[in-house]
Amino acid sequence: MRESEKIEPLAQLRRNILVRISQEERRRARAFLFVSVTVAPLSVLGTVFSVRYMLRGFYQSSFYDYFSLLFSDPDIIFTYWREFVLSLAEATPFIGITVSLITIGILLVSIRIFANNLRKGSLIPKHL
Amino acid sequence: MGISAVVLTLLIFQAGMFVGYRKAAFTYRFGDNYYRAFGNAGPGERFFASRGGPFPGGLIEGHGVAGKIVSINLPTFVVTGPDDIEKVILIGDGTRIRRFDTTLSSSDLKVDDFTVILGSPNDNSQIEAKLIRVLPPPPNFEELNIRKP
Repeated sequence: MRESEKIEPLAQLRRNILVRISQEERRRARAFLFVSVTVAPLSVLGTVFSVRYMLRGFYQSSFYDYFSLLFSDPDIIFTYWREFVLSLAEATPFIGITVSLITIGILLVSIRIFANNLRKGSLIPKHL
Repeated sequence: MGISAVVLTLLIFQAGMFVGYRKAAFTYRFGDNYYRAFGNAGPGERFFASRGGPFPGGLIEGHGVAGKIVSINLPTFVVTGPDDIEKVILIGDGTRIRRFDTTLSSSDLKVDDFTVILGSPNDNSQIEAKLIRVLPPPPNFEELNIRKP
C-alpha cells in the first residue's frame, strides 16, 4: 500500500472509543448491581426458609435415629452396613437439601456479582 | 475436572435411581397389600392417589423405621413412625434387640416402646428386622408424629 493511500484516523477517535467503552461498562455494571441488589435479599429470605424446611425434614424423618445407631451399635451396623446406608439414604430429605443448596448458590453468586460490579464501577474513571 | 464432574453427577444420579427404585417398589407393594388386606383389592397406585400423589405423602422407607410400637403379635409387631404409617416388623432368628447395653428377647418388647429398627423389606411389605434398638422416646416425638397435610 502506498503511503498516500493510508487513512489517517481522527485525533479524537481513540478517546471517543475509550469513553464509549467506559460508558458501556458502567451501564452494564449498574444493571448487574441493580439485579444483584434485588436478588440478594430475596435469596437471603429463600435461604432462611429453605434451610428451615431442610432442618424440619431432618427432624421429621428418622435420619437422626438411624444415624445414632452408628454410635450405639457399631458392631451390628458394620455387619448390616448395606441396610444402614439404604435407611440413611431413604431418610435423607433430598428435596430440602437441594432447594437449600440452590438458594445458597444464588445468594453467593449475587454477592459475587455485587462485589465485582461495585469494584468495577469504582475503578472506572468518570471522565477519561 | 470436567470429566470427573460428569462422572460424579452420573454416580449421584445412579444412586438416586437405586434408592428411589427401592422406595417406590416398597411403597407400591405396601399399597397393594394394604388394599388386599382391607378388602379393596386394587393396584398400588391407589395408595399413591390416597396420599395425594407420590410426593406430598412421600415414598415409604423400606429399610427401617423409628417410632412407637402400637401392637404386638409375635413374631411380628407394628410400629408407627413420624410419617404416621403403620409398618409391620418381622422378628427373625438373627434379629438383635437391644435396650441400652442389654440384649432383650422379643417377648420383652411392649406396646408404646419407642424403637429404631434396621432391616430389609420382604415381598409381604414387612420389614425383616436385623436390629431393634429400644430407646427413650424423643421429647418432641408426639409433635413430630403429626405430619402436616
